[in-house]
Amino acid sequence: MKTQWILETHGEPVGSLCRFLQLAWTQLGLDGMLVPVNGKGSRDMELRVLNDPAQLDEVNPFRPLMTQNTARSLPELVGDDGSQHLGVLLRPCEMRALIEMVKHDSFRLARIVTICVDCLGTLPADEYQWRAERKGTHEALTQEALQFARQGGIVPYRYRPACQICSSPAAYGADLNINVLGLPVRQCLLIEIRDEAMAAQLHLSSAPLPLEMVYSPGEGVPEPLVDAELPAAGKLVAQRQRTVDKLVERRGRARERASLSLAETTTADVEGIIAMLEQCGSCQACMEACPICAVDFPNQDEKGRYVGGDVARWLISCSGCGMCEQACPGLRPLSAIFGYIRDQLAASAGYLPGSSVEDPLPLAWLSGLKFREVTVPVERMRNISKRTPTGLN
Amino acid sequence: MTAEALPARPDGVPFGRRALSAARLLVRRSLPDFLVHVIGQKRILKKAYPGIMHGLIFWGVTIQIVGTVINLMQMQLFLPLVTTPFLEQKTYLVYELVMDIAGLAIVAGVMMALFRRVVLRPKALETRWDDYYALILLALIPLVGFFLEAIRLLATEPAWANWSPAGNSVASLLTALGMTADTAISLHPILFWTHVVLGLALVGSIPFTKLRHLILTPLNVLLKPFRKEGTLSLIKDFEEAESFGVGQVSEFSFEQLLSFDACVRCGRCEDVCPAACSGMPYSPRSFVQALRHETSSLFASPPAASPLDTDLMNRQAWYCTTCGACLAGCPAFVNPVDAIIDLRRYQTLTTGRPPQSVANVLRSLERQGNPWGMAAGARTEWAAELGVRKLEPGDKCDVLLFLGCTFTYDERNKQVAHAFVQLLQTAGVDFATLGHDESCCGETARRLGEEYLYQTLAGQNIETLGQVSFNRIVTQCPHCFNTLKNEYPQLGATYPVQHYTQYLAELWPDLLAAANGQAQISQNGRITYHDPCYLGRYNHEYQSPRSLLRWAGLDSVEMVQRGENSFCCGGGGGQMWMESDAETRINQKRLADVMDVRANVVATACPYCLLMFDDAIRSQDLTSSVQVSDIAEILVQRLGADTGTRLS
Repeated sequence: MKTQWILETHGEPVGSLCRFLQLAWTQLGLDGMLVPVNGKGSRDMELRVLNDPAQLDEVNPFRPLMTQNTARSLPELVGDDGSQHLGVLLRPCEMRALIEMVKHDSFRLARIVTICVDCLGTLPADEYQWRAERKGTHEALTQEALQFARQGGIVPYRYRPACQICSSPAAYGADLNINVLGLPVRQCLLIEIRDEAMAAQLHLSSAPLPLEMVYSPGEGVPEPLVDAELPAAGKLVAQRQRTVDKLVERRGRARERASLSLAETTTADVEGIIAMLEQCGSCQACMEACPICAVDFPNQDEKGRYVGGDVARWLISCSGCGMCEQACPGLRPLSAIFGYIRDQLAASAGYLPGSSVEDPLPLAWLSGLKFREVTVPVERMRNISKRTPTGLN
Repeated sequence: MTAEALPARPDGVPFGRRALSAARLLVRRSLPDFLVHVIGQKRILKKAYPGIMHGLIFWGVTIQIVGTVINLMQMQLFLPLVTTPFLEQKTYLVYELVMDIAGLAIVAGVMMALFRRVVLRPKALETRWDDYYALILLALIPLVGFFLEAIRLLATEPAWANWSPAGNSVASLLTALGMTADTAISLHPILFWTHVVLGLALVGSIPFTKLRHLILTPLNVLLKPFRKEGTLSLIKDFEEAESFGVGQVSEFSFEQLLSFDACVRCGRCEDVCPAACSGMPYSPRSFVQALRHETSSLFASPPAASPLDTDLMNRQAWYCTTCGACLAGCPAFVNPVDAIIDLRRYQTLTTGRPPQSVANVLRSLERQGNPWGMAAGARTEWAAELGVRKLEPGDKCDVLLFLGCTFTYDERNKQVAHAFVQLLQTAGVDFATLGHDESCCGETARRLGEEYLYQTLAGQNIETLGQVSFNRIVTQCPHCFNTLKNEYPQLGATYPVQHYTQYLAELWPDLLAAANGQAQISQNGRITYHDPCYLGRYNHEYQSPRSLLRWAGLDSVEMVQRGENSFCCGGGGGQMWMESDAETRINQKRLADVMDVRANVVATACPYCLLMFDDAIRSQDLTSSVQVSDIAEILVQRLGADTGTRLS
């Protein structure tokens, strides 16, 4: 049974979370942790496997920037034998991608500890660069993102299009889920632990009422909730749920509108996508950025056309991370297009992508799909690339 | 989301004392408005026919209600409480007379109203079933009352019958028709109960018909949010609020929901709304009525959570110029502008789906610090050859010239800024600007719903202004003027701020003396002055610009819509940067007003007005017959100040 804990932050949500991750690292006996860290350039970001918990000081999971899907680089790192005992820090879309990747290729998650953090939205790379440059530090942008954790973000028109229509920003399905949405993060955040065994490993299970317990980093042993300043756990959980519900509802509407504007276009089905990819020639930038393609690259037949069943199997697993869109040199609104097709496929197959590793891919249903051959005139394709994903504008 | 009507609840103060202080505050703030606008009907009387019509009905009904209560108090039922019946002798006769006159007033008012609805049919009037229901009920009650009085007079034939003129006339009529005292006595109970039932029907239908305004409109006048004119509500709890703006009707404040209910659809807002008048698919009345309709869904069972985040509502939010014409005209003090801003806030801050042009201007504001998207570094280029002093931290000056983005970046308005600087230099004023350190005042961001950006920009300016000293801020832009003067105090920064026309009006004698004594005598053509909304309607400055023109020896003609009733140029509330349909341009409508008074110069004192007129003139190819000038430019010409600039 999963357990929830309040993590007191004492005004420093990032620092407190880092110290909690250090605790998790040592208590769970990890060999390393795959995390996004500051890159060499002052405003870049790169993925790195840390091998010393002390290095976690550099980690900042709340930075509103995502340059690649972390899940994509995991299979390589785990190795064929799966011997590495790794922790990996993921956004919800990356977590979903990882779950789907496991189902596409049978690499195992057994020795991997997944840590998923509520997502406060991310900015396009250039927007992020500009802001970071003006503010001088990454720190300021993180602080701004955290300042609006209570509402789940502010001024979303600045976000990446994929984030604007993302209707599942809440951490879910990982071994450790870190909750910040809707919470007074300068006071505390919530940590959800997979099961009591893991909580015990983290020294968090001795308490009779886990929800009412507070873990203050640095003090080692959890203490009962005595700080009157801190809202009651039940209230925090409800407050987060309310904020998540609201976000899901709003983003769901944005998603619907984006879909409406796409439903009439030629790329609204798998055949359309195949035709589109054909127009793209040898460019496979979207697939090279895609975590699913990292384990299950769609095949081309002898004529060079992508195989319908492969494309459907690829897109039904779409986690909505939008890395394809960020990579597309044709500036196509891919997160909206792929998201729309994913929704169509998943709804007809009765499948919930990214929800659980237990829920197998609907392979039988997918193999029953029939595909026509469609060619899309080049002119109409051009129009699609100019279309804004939101439709209203 | 405006919750400034009452002070925040101070913890630990007993409820009784809190209620008392709230009530005292309410009386102090709202009683004058209540007396003037409810009892005195001031705003309603602005329009003669409907004003008198409503006045007759309102005062008639009020007197009748008071009279009926007094009458009831005389009955046996209340005698133990009211021991001395005071309706005796002379008092009673006066009472009878007053009540008769009040009844006649109601009948007259209702007749006027029916005539208006059936025959005159003004364009702004829409009719629903309850409009007739209310009028017929209001007519029947006094008419039945007169018959009742008549048969009472017939039956008793008192000596003082003449004190009830209406009843007495009906009595004479009935006698002439052959009614006897006996018939009258037998008829009395029927008429009496009809009168009572009609009266109770009126009371009973208050919640279900337009008669609700009997209660809700006075209540709205009492409870309307108290903010300085020209200010929007401040979002204070950025970290605490669950969301920003309003995405569901239930998120409006109690006072706002009440105000939607207080609307009687009189259409005065629609009559003066520049967007509605120009044919845009928006009308403040329909907007408020739509919100009222949504509000009623809150009471459905189960309560329907109906989001305002629909395409229709999302578009509705972006036609308003925030000119305030609807606010100035509304007899019920409904505030559609606040509601519009709440919807905009929700779209920009919470859902992130404002129209593309809005997102673009907000991005420019954020990146370059001005809505024009021009380089921030170019902020001082306008004054390159003028030798204007820039205030460094720690410096002092008499007049701090707060330029505003439009004067800094727009070519046409740079000429206006040059003209004003020449006037200041001619008069030898010690003035300076903030140069690169000036940032957009934030007005555009705020009116577009980006409150966070507004507070960021305002914060930058307040910090800069805190590092220099000056005796007053003078700005040429009415939008900067309103924001610096009225809105920055919400952030704790109060400055002496003047619009340049106010400052020049003070400076005039010096200016005249410095410019060698007199203004040129001759005047070419007809000139008319257009009141900018944020100078006039929001800040009540109608005189200074007109005085300046007069002192400069110019006779101006007035347009029909002027002063408080001025018609917006179409550039306010962020509209300056939004795309609009070429068929429904507000500025062209306003230019038509100028052409109507056959003026060939339209003078204004606002950079947006200048550009909107300029655009209208060019697009209609009227450059040869009419031109637009800022008052500063006109003064430079008239005073023959030593100009190095091109004046158009």
